[in-house]
Amino acid sequence: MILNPVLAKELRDRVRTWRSPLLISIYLMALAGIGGFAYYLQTRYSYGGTQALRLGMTIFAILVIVQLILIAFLTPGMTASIISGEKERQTWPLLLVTRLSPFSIVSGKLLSAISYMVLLILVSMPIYSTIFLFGAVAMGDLLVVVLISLVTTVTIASIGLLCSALFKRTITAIVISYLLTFFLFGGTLISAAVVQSLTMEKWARLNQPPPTPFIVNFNPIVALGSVLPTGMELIPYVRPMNVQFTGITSTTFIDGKPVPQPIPVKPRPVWQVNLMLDALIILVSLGLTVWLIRPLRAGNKKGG
Amino acid sequence: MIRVEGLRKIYGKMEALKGISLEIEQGSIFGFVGPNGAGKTTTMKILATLMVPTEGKAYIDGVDVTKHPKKVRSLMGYMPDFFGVYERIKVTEYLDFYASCYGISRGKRRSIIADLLELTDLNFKADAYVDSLSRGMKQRLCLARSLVHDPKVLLLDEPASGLDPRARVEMRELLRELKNMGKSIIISSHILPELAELCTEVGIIEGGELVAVGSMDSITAQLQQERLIQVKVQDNISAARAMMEENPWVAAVNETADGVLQVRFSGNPEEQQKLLRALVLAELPVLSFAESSNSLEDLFMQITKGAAR
Repeated sequence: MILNPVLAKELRDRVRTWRSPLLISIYLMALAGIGGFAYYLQTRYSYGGTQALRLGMTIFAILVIVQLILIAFLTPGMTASIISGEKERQTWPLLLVTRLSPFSIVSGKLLSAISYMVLLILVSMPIYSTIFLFGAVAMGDLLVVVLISLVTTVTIASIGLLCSALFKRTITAIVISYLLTFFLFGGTLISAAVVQSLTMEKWARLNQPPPTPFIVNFNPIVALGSVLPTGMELIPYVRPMNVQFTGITSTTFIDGKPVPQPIPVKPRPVWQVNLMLDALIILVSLGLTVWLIRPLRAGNKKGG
Repeated sequence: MIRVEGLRKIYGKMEALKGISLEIEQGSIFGFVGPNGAGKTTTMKILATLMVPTEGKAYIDGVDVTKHPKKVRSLMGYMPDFFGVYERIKVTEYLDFYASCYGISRGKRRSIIADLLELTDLNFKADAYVDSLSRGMKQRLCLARSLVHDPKVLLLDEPASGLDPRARVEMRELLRELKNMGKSIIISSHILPELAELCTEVGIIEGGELVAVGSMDSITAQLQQERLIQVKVQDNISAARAMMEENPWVAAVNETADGVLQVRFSGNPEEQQKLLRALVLAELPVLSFAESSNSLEDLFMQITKGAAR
């Protein structure tokens, strides 16, 4: 197998220090601790009947949300230093004068960061598997949750990588990528709330509930919530997938007279829209990163 | 092997290169000399495919560096003036990584690395971590790195800077060895004597322009047509200066911070005697009148307007 040299080197570097196993241990302890605490809270005053059925669902929901938040905390720190760190270390020109294309360098760096996050997700699987003891969580749900977690990881990693190529200083790249990640997780919800409060009056006049602003589709936690059976209770803006009516109408004839009828449309689930938006963010970020790091880009900085 | 035609590079309002042209034969060592900021690194970076020129062309082995950078990268090895190393990587792994970046198969890499470690005398450090090496060893390792794909051309930007005298001698020996292997080498330096014994050809660059190009002997002769005489007078410096500036054999007179007059003199020894006699007859209190002992370097500094000082 011909491995990307950058990927091979980064993977070896990552596992060479004590930081890697330590991080995995802390990550698993945090996840198990929070899962255990959620179990304690749910069962503290005895449980049974329908409550028992919901127990697995709730703990599962809490675990996957916590995992996503942990990913959001770890990924920018891992990716935002990738290119700016090479520049600060003065190893960057040595890499650019090799036969590697900018795309190979970017993909190698990105894959190494992602593979570490995938490792974290995989090692957490035994913790998730305890949920199956309670039942009520389908294998399909688990797979969609893993898919959302992976795609979110790649999205945050791509944003981090773009910041790393955009800013000369690692610290700036890290701060900006954390801000962008925070916007994805929290800012989108705040923006949605602001939009809703500004347009509330208009919808009240029309006697209709305000629609969910589109920006929430960018939010990975809302996407996750749309898959989880108890998502609606835990996360705002997780709308039930009710039938909606759009402006499109068809004409039916009642008593020989044409009467326009609205066509019912089932909206696409938030997680599907989210994954499509993530794909767009990934493509744009990686494309820009590759463009930014081309060595023969015009306007290079001054030499001696 | 290397051809540069009218190379210009403009950064904002600053013109770093003002139309440099030069040609370097195969198997020669070309010394690129000039003060800091003269345009050496910019030229090197353009040749190394790391920068686009504003105007002009550069070719390595007939290949245009801006049109076919990937092809050029296989032909040349580049060692920048400042470079870093990765942490947590051993010497052999370091070379193996760069060799794989040049697409060299795993089977070939092992023997190439062994040869390079022997060439650069780093065999005994094969399993050491790169960041634990001394500065001189890191320079040699970086040179080994630039050789992993057996390039025809080597671009070495200030390879001896920051090295102690012993490491400088080792580096010089290594470059001589590479020349014997048939490599064409461009070395930049801000110190001319450093390159004096090593280079077959020298180009002096100043303010983005090539001031002189030629063999080491012809440059030395060109520089030594003018001698540098240091004159010290007890007082009345301005009168002494004015008098010497009137002499037809004096190209220029500069006054140093400690009141010594540096005279670029192109006349023969008789004319030199006459100049001293004239100063004495004018009753100027001459304390010393002597040719600079480090004439070559001082004249280089004069030609390049002393920008490095």
